Amino acid sequence: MTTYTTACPRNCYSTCTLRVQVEGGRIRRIEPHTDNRATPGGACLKGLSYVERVHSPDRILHPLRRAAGEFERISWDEALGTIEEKLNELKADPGPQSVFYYSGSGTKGIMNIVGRNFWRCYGGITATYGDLCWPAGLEATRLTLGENKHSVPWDVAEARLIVLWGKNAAETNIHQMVFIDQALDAGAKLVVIDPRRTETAERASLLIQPRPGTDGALALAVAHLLVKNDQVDHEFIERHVLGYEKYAAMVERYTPEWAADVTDVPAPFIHELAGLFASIKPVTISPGYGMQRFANSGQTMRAMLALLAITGNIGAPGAGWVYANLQSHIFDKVKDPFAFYPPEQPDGVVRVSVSTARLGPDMLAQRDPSLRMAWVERGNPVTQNPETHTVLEAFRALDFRVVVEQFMTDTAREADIVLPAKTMFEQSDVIGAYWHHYIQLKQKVIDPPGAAKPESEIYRLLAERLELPEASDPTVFPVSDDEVDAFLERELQPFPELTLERLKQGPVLTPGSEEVAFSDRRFPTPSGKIELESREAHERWGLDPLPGFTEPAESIRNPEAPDPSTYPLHMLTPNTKNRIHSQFNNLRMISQFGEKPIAFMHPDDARSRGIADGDRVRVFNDRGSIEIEVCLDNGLKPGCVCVTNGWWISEGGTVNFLSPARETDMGFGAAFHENRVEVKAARDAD
Amino acid sequence: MPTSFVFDPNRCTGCGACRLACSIENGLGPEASWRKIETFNPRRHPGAPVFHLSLACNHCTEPVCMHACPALAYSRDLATGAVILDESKCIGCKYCSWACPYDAPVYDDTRGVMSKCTFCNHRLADGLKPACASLCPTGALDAADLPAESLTSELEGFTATDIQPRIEIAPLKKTRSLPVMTAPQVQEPVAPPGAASASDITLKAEWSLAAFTLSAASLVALFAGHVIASIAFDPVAYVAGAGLTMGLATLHLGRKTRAYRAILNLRRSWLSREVVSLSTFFALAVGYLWMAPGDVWLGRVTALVGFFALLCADYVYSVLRTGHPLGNSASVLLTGLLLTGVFSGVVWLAAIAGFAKLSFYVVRKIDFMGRRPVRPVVSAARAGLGLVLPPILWLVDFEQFHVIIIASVIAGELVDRCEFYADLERSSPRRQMETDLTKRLAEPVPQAAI
Repeated sequence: MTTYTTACPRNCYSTCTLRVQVEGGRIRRIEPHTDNRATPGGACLKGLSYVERVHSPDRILHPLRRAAGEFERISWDEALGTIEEKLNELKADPGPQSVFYYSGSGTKGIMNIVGRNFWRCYGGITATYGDLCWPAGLEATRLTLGENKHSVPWDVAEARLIVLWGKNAAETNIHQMVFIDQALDAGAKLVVIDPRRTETAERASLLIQPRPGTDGALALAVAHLLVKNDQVDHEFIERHVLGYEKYAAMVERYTPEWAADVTDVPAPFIHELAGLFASIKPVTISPGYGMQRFANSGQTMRAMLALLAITGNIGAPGAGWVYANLQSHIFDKVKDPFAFYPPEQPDGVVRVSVSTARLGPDMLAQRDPSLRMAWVERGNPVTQNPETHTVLEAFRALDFRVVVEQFMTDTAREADIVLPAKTMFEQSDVIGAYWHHYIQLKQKVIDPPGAAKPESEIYRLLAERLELPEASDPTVFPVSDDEVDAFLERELQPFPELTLERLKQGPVLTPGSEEVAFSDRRFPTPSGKIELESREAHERWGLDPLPGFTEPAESIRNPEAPDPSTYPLHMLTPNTKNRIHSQFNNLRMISQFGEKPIAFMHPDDARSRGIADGDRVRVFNDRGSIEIEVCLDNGLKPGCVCVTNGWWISEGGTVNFLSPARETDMGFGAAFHENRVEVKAARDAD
Repeated sequence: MPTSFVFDPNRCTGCGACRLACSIENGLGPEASWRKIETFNPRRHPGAPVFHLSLACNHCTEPVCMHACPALAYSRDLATGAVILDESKCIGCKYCSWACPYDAPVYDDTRGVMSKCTFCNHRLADGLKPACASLCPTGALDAADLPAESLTSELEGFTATDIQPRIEIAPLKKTRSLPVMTAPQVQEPVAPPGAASASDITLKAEWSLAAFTLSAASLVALFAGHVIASIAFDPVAYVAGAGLTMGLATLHLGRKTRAYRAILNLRRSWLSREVVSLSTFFALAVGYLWMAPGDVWLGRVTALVGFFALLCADYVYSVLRTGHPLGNSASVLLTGLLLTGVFSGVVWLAAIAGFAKLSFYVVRKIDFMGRRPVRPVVSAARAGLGLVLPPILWLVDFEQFHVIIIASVIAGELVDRCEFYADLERSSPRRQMETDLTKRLAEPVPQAAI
């Protein structure tokens, strides 16, 4: 039995360090690595399930070709030959930009750049801008603080008031709960703001359940009280905050009574929350990502962040905005959120013209040239991007589709050629994180099984076939273990503290990272201060420079939205502990914890529709429908229906059949969490 | 070296890592695990907190599983104190799982044996903790060396017993009892789905036991009737019946070829005692019928051994700790006595046994009202056929209706015995949680402070 140190590269806060025990080419155990102070307890259930995932009988181990609706095994030679032919044909006519490249967040790492490099060498491509995940919040943070970073994860233990705003850390950031528990043991208070009574909410002394999309109104009303009662930190504001006067004048109209009406949170709760902000320091707000997937959510996030600015809760131990920590993203030439933005000066080679939020409609809308072929890797856009029907239509409108995958996802099922992808254990890479400060080596521990190949090898083989000049350059297409190590060493070179040898032992704190973010009170905004008033918000996004409140696009109170009686329920599509988006649930170890999709409904909403516990229902709107089983949940806010996202179409609960292809107010994010639906018992639906 | 599990429900998020850690470490297959996680208040009733309880085997100081096992498949590992089940000795009778209030022994359908947490004693030797404890991401589950007498484990959902489970459970924090919530209270909150979800002993699975016990009681009664009232029967048919009865007994075993092991734990297991005494009874009965048909003393001793076997059959169910094993209308011993009276026409015996059965039956049904199925039609059949019709016919003309009386009594007994198996409840964490939640929700909900 040999033990290796590696790290989990999923799109997840924790980015755990793992000790992997390998015996006879098989992963036997995933053990904790205590050098990572953020994840010393070890991996979550998903991390443990890698022992099944890597060796799953369902894993794709050979290239597959779809013929007459069935997939058949073919050789690499055949697969690459077919792709080569298509690429040559399209490059000549109508041009390389008729090829569409889509990469998701399935695996993180700096080796992912190899794909982009290939397509540039090929002669160009059409690519996406924006992101499904977190850009509105990133942009809101950047506009306000100048940079996306926060203190080390364990600093939350120093907080005395913790506000988990739209975040169910117990399921999505389980390792944060350890530090929250430490804070609670030391006497801290926890407030959870969430329409659901989540696992996390059980630790809270106060659970505020606002109407989805109105968190900004709640924040503004709290600010109203803090300003009115003179409970702000004048000294901090004086030295570090820009635009306070205008902001204070603006919040005057956002009274708790107004907010109670808008948010559906009784005014006493708003007073209670303001009282906590006024009387406790230090305060940490840790917002989730779900709440910033609304059409008004950039402004919402700015309004929430303002509460920390006016109470002086930035730059001190236990205080801060724990949203996204990009301090370990030292290898990115362009940091998020800018990396999501289309280039201001298009280079004529890579056409960045498809919004991730509007993937289906934008793919269909491309002209000169129209899209003819797609290459998808590390992603499952069919189930995960909004408006699944349109995404399917767009993929089916193409001549040719290649999907690089480990399993037959819904996107892989649309492919003409499926190429067997490596797993995280089969090629080394270096990864940062977005919650903790560590740089880690995601070390290769086994060879790819069957005929699976790392993407860099697939691209090298294709480059050779296409006779691209870079084909033999291992710095562009590193394939052998030595070439990969050399590639990584080159990236590490600017940082003497970071070597592969050192990283093989365990995680290393990012050189120059701050244990307490902004402790120097330097804010890289245009003014050098925390900007409550942001000119860039107006210039770049056409928004009010102040974070005022507007109803989200599909709000039942928005006069421009459909009549409230049409689709009166708000659909929540949160993540579960059992999956990272659409990954993991195909494993038996994981599906045992929730084998089928469930629509959670409040008993009052169910009763008024004649729906009983366990009934099959149709959840629908103009965009689509799904038919699943109902489970009544007394803790859910009435007016909401909740289905976790990530279910495959074959499993029956793909929520994005219902979600809208709409962008957020800033950052080119996807506003697909505002999603109005109706629910009917399946027996009553036509 | 750790000797006890330590669990903190305040830190547990119900993530399931412990369950998987166990599956992986012990090579149990992706969905099988010796560790289960139960959730208190899964429907998030506004009147109660939600928390989880992760349990495997507690390696109790008084291991009731080991005492109940007739096959001596259980032992205590002297080095680690772990209660170990040797699967190669297990006959798959499942009595250990009936005895354990924590659902620790798990029946493996494909192999026909029980399997159970070993406290990862193979890891302890290497200085490691059990896999579940070492892989809990939040530190909610741990293992430590704690003196057995200092352990406390008071938590809703955790059955309090006197078997000294070696687990320390932290009390649920007061602050965790209920968050103040803004969502309006529901009109009629959804109650827990009910005890139906708890794993239970079912008639469908245990029909062979119902048939076996009733046929054993009939054969003992027949023999006793022969001794006291010289009722006649065909000895060959009797022996065939005895063979059939013993065959029925093995039907519910997962490993029938190991059935002989059922006699090994005479010292502690009522099942072993039942098997040995019933076999002895049949052996003596055959000897009496063939070699000494007139020997009064041998006849009396044989009958006594038979009734002792029926007593053992009743005490087998004492592992469930649900009332006195003889205080039940379906008691095998009472059935034996009633049938003896009916077969031999001893009216006082039939009357006493019948009246006892009727009383116990009524008490049981009254006790079930509102919480368990009462089944009025079945009850009418049981009481009418078994206990009302026979005395009436007896009063009219015992001789003329004797066969009908016997048939009617046996039919009534069969119904009762079937109901007995359908109603058997074994305690389990899930059942305990549902009981405790129901109790908690009966109390007034504390009003929010805001």
